[in-house]
Amino acid sequence: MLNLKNRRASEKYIFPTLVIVWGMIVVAIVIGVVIIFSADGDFREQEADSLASKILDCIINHGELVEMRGFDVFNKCHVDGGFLGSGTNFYFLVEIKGSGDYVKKLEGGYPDLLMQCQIRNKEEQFAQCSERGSVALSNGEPVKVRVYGASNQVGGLL
Amino acid sequence: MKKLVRDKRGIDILHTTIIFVVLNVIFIAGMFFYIGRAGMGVQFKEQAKAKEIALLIDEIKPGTSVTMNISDLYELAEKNKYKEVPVRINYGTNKVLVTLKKGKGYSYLYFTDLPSNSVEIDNVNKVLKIKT
Repeated sequence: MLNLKNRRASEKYIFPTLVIVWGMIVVAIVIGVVIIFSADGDFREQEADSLASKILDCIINHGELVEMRGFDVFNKCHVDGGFLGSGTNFYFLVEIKGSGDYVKKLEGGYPDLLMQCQIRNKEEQFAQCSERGSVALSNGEPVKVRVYGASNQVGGLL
Repeated sequence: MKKLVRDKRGIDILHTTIIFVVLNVIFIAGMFFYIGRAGMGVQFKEQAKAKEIALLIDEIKPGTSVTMNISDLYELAEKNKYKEVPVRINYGTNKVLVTLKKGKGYSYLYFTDLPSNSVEIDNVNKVLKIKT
């Protein structure tokens, strides 16, 4: 038990207490700065959105779905096909649903990324996804077009 | 005051208080310095700019051109005695590389199929031009 009436005895504990308090403040501020700056630097959701928008804009032209037979999504949509290989950090999936059970799918990149989004979207180590949809005309018939984009790029030091 | 100075216990209290105030001032100044540097640090700037340029390349519509001011990168590179161009594009690996200090740097990928020489860096006006 401290003898608080004894001024000299209590002064002995001031400096260590002060150092502990400063240490706690330093740790709190460093954690805060790291969280703030790392959160600002995460563009994965925007990238996924950009990928989905880019493909949607390219397959629908003035409300009409472009001819999908033999359609090269990489070449026509200016997306690097060679780069979007299986080991990449990007993925896109295009679903076109017409009348009845007709479904056409186009995809590129690493399919696991979309699965990661479906499991848990808010986990930091999992990919971030975006979904874009529209209705377009194909041979006079309305079709639903849905594009999913995913990114799990974290960048790297040189 | 004279009485306090003559009194040994008074001097002790004065010393403790002065040391306490000085240490607090040093601590608070140090924290402000750290927070200020965290936002302007080379590593953070490299990372932010590489991501910004990669995102810009991916967002840009075909047939358009965009000019981006990168004079802040030149200033930081100069401060760190880095004489080379701070931004480079590797068209083969789809990478934006930003370097502001020798031996360091940050790379970020873009997914757009960008033809070679689409990105031009103007060293005189310190701007980056993207043409697709």
